[in-house]
Amino acid sequence: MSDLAQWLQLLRRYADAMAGRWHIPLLANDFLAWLGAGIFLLALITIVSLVAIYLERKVSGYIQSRLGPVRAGPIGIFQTILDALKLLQKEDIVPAAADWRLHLLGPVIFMTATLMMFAVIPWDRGINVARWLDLEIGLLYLVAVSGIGVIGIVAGGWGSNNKWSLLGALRGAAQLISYEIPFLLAALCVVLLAGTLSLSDIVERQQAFVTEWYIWRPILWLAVAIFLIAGVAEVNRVPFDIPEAESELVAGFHTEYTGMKFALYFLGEYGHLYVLGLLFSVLFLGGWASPLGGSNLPFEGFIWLNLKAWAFVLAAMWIRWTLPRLRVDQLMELAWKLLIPAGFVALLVVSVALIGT
Amino acid sequence: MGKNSPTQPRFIPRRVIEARARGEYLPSLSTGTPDVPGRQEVTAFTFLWAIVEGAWTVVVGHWVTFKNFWRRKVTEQYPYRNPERNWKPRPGYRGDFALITDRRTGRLRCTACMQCANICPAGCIWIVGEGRGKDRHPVKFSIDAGLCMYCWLCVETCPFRALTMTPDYETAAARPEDLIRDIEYLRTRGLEYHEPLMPIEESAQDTRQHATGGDPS
Repeated sequence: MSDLAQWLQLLRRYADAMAGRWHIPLLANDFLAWLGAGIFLLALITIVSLVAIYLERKVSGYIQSRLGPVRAGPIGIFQTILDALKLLQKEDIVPAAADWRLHLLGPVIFMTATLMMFAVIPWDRGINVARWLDLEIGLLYLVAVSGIGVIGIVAGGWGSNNKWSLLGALRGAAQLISYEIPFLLAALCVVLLAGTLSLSDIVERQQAFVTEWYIWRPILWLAVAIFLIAGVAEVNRVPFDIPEAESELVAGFHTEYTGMKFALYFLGEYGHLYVLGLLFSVLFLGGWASPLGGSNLPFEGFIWLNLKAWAFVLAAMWIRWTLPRLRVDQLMELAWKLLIPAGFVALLVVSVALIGT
Repeated sequence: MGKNSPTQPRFIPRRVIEARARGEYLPSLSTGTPDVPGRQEVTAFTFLWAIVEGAWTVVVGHWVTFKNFWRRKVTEQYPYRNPERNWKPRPGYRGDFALITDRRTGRLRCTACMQCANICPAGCIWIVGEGRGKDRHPVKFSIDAGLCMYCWLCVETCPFRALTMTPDYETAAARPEDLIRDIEYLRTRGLEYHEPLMPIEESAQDTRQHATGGDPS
């Protein structure tokens, strides 16, 4: 039990005691705890997205020998905050011929899917958004929920009544459905090795020492490569950003979005990238385990997990500004002719390696 | 029905048609376009080797962007300047105008021969000359920078290299009439910019060369 968990437990006990004193039913207290967790998640995703967008612009600038944003605040750190304020003020335009219900539901579903993915992430030993959300089948839940995002993309693209949006949405649907298979196969290799679908248990298997991290197992290296490629494709980032390919489709499925709806798509996308980073560090980099052997610092696991996730995010940005975009057929070819067979090979390798144990 | 109309069949080179008749060329691996010959027959080895090669090119590309990340940035944040850097454009930049003063006589080199005013496509040069023969000199010499298109023809046509352009690029003004450079302005710019660039002896020789059509004697 970590410090953070103890601290939260104390807080919860105090809240329960106060509820008893003020004759508040415990159910309402539960509800308040849920509300707090939800607000925490929303704030986290917002902050993560703001930082990620700022980093993205900085990294892209530096890779292109530019400086990136420099004007708003020291080295431009307030740039994305001001951008968010600008988006808040913008007029919410719904095209006249659009299906306004779907047009509204698209970003909402997209964002909700990302939010739901955060539920099973183990932030520290015994710490989830809610205690009973430390699911036995956490990984399965996470992959299933990430598939809901496709509905948001398709709803937004169809509801916009715009050919670019529709093309982007269809491409997005095809891409996400295709890349979920190698993604799942790569994750399945880890599940085979760990013998559990629970994310916190997977971390527990690796947390004894740095050398226990799954990324050091040569039998998993193929799975790591597949996970990286399929993961980048899952979040619609370059080189797999054909759903929103700006040089062909204007802005793809979110062409017709302005203001906060557009911002919701953006938040969802960067939140998804961040949660993939968290998942990558949970599966391969030992999650909240410290590579330095652990200490008594508060929030230690949380900080280590975030460092690892941000390393993944930065790597995704590096990939984005290096590789050119794939064509649609090349993308499908990569998924179906290369990654899925390779995923089965990786699964086979891990299975055969596990026979003796 | 234009030449590039999609309804017309694409031009297929004869060697491609012949090779196709021989059954030599395979459709491209990635596009399936029959006209683009595949480089080689696909075997298990070439397939796997293509994967290895592709992975290696990805690594090389990332190394290039990684190096670029740490390089010195080229961005100039214009109103803010680093005093240690040379902010002047390279020689030959066509900025503000200048009339060059001859150091030996202390007068402008210009003889008001009107060649620059005549050749100017925009008609932005206005000269009033005075005197005859060796004494001829301009009393009024105005250039309207708002009309000028910086084509360099006046500088090129000047027989005495009396007119030139400086690297000074900050010439914005609030009103169009402020852009008209009069003779005093042009003289000052010439003293500011031309003299440090060219010592007297060289300057004199340069003038002589120019006047005699390139003969240095």
